[in-house]
Amino acid sequence: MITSAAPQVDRRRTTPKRVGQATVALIGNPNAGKTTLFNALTGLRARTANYPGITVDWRKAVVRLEYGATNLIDLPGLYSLDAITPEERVAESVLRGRLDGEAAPDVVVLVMDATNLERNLFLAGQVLELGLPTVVALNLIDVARTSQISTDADQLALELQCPVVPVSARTGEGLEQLKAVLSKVMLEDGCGRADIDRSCTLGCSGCPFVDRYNWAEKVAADTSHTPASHGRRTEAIDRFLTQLLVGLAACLVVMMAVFYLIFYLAEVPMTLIGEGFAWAGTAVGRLIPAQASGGLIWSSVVFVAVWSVIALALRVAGRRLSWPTIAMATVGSLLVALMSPAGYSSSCRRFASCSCFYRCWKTAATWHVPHSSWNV
Amino acid sequence: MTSSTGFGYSSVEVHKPSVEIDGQPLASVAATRVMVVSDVGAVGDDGVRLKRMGICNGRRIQVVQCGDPLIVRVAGCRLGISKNLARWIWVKPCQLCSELRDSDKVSRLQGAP
Repeated sequence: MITSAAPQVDRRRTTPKRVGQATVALIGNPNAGKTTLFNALTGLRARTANYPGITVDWRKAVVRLEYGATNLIDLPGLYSLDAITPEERVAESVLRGRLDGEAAPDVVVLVMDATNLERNLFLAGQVLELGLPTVVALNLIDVARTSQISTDADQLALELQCPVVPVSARTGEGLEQLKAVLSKVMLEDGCGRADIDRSCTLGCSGCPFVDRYNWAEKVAADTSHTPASHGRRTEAIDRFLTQLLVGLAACLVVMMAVFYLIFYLAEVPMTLIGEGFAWAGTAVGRLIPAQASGGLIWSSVVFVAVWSVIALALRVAGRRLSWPTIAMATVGSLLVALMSPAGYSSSCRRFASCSCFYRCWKTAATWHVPHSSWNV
Repeated sequence: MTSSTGFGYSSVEVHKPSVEIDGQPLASVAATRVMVVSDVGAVGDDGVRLKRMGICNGRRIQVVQCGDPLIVRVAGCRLGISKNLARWIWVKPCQLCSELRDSDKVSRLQGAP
């Protein structure tokens, strides 16, 4: 008898929602292309490196579907729902509706790598058992085609009992169809909700991992055909580069190349930038009278620079500029510009000159110090 | 019985069975051979990681390359396993499957370790 716990989703929180509040979660193995698909669907530019486990947090954006505006969540990659790493625990919590303030997603998009179906089917089995409406996005279909890996999407849909859409997040192939299927699943309650029992959660003999992998192997064999030549080249490169001396030499070459790029090639643009700034400084300095408006110019430059840095930081963090963020960035930049050393006296003076308080203060200051430096 | 083997970063938490295991450590298998896992001695996180990657009792694996790390093909993809960890994975020869890569053969051998 298997003692593993039955999958538990907080059902009370999966009730249908109003348009604009519905949530779709992208889940899949590391490096299956979830973030690329997220970017393709939302139009954002979240960057990710090409190695597994790079998405360590989850991000959210709005995607326009025929159903209406829907929140799309990009989760970290995971191999199974028996989460043992922090990022896997985040993904698992979101999927089960156990994360504070977040209900279980209304629809799960299971992103599967078409070039490595068997490996991806292990997680697919666990996700489908949660009983949430699920759509499979069979990603990297273009790479599979190039590698002559044939996949029968209809047969796979039959085996998994949920819609399967072949897509290529990189080229955009199949994305419209995926959006249409997502809308359909959202509109038709129960559609895409797989009612399968292949697990050992309800009691069977043997190791649950073995049973699930045996099932994954069978489904992969029934729905996909990989030519014998697939992966030979990568294996040959691996065999060559993982030798002790060759590996060390290759590592050294890569490190030297990076060093060269940083210290020699980067010198050209650095010099150009330095000279450009020097030229611009000289030109601007010649045009602007230093005494009268130096502080105002400096404050404006500081304001623009700080605002740009804040906007860039928001962009890098994957946040969109909304009215509250714009207002906060503006106020913050203004404060920094006013407090900057050169801008303080002139900006403060201009601000205060509009007030009665300044007039009183100026009278008092002039009375005490007749030729104060504040009058510069 | 559970104990740790190895040092520092490469330490592996293992269980030592009271009965003798049928097979040999994965670390001692020659390249290209297809084997069947007879026991996974690693427990804890390492054990769970291995099992969920497809290295669990009764599953077929093919040694692609010997050394450290050891490269094996399992569930359609290649995995690198440290030699220290591979010492605690017990395997026996798979008599029926000569080539794990061929998915047709694998499907025919479904359920036959």
